[in-house]
Amino acid sequence: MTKVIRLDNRGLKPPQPMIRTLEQLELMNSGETLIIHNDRRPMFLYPELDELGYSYETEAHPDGGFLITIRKP
Amino acid sequence: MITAPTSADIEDVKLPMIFIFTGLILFVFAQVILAVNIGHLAKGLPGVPMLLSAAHLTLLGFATMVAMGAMYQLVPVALQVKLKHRRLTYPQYLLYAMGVLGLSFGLIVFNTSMIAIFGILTVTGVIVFVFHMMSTIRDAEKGPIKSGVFLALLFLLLTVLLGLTLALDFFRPYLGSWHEVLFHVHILFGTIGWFTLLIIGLSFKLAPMFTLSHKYESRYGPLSIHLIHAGIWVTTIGFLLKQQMLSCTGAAVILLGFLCYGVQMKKVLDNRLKKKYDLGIRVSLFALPFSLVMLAALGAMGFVMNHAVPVPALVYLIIIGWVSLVIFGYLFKIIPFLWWTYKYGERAGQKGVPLLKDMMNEQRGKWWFLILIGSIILIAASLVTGLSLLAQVFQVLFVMASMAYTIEMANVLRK
Repeated sequence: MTKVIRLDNRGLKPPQPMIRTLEQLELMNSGETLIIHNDRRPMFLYPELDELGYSYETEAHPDGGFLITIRKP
Repeated sequence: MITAPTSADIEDVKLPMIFIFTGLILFVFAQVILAVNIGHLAKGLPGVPMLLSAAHLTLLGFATMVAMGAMYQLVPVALQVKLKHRRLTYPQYLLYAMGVLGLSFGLIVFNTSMIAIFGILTVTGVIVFVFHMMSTIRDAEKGPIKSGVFLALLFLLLTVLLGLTLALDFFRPYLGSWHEVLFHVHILFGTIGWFTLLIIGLSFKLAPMFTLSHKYESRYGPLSIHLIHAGIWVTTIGFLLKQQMLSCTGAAVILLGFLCYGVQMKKVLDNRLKKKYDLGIRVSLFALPFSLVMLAALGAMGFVMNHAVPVPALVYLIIIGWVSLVIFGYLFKIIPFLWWTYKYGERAGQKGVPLLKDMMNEQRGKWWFLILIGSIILIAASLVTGLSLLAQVFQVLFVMASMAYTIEMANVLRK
């Protein structure tokens, strides 16, 4: 079972959410998954993930905000 | 993350884009006028109406226009507030755009009533903008970003009010020898008070955001704003009292403020997580040291050659080498990002959806910036040496480069 880490970025001011997310990703191993919960779609994060080669999916969270599932290649 | 518009918020993207592209088109017009009239500048006559027209088209039509559009987008993000009066935005654009166009045309034909009337229209457009922005930032958290933006808005207002005072003097002379003094204050307030404080204030948020920097020492930021602010007033009093020692002291204080800003930026950039700089950001960061070095070099060159400060070349450098270049750098990043967010943001990560880097060709971008910067150096050098034909040739090159930049930016909207 692949390791899943969850990060709640809600309420944080930019660039905190993105920095936390990228720092967490760096600590993770290949194949592991990070799910972040953000207040808004992280538009600035997506190009960064594209450049680093991560795959990701975004879905709206029923309680508000967005869940982004990021897979480390 | 940056508060981003969803694809439903078309207005969020349309608004800054309208300002930005109007600005780019007016920039090209301004450069064409400059190309025809650069001879006057080379001969040391910056006050010629055609040149005033080119300057105002550049500063009001391009730089301030783009700044307004960008601020509608960035200020809410940088200061975590919401625009207070959204419905004012398009009317403000129309008022301001008409004012600037009429003013610039009035200067070309030197029709003093046209200058006065459209000057008033322009000032009204600015007042609406300043009022809207000030009410928007009122509830923001105190700090160097809020101070920088607030002061910049204040100086924008003072600059255009002074401009109107000068315009009315053309129409019905009443200022006498005060005209020249107020002209200098007008330029100081506009270049250092409005543009520089705005760029500095916003960069305190944008630089850490774009380079992912945090945990840096931040006391030099507020210090730089206070120093530049104080310096502006000392210099102004020096101008008004015709005390050169005072205005030089004020200039020195401003320079100290710039140094503090440089120190603060270094601390931010040294702590960054994102090691690679995007091309646009690199150009914007480069613009300040580039202009300062060029100002010093050409100032010295002019002094050695003619025993006088080459004012036309220095003014050209501040307007094109500093203000315009910074804006071009940021636009290279902002335009593709805004468009990509609007068009593909909701589908980011899905198969087949274009990436941000598909919006813009960085390789081609490098060439334009090289040509742009190269032309600026050559034009400034030609101005100092008084070689008008050479200045004109390089200016034509610059015109073509700016047209190419504008077209490429417009092409982003087709992706």
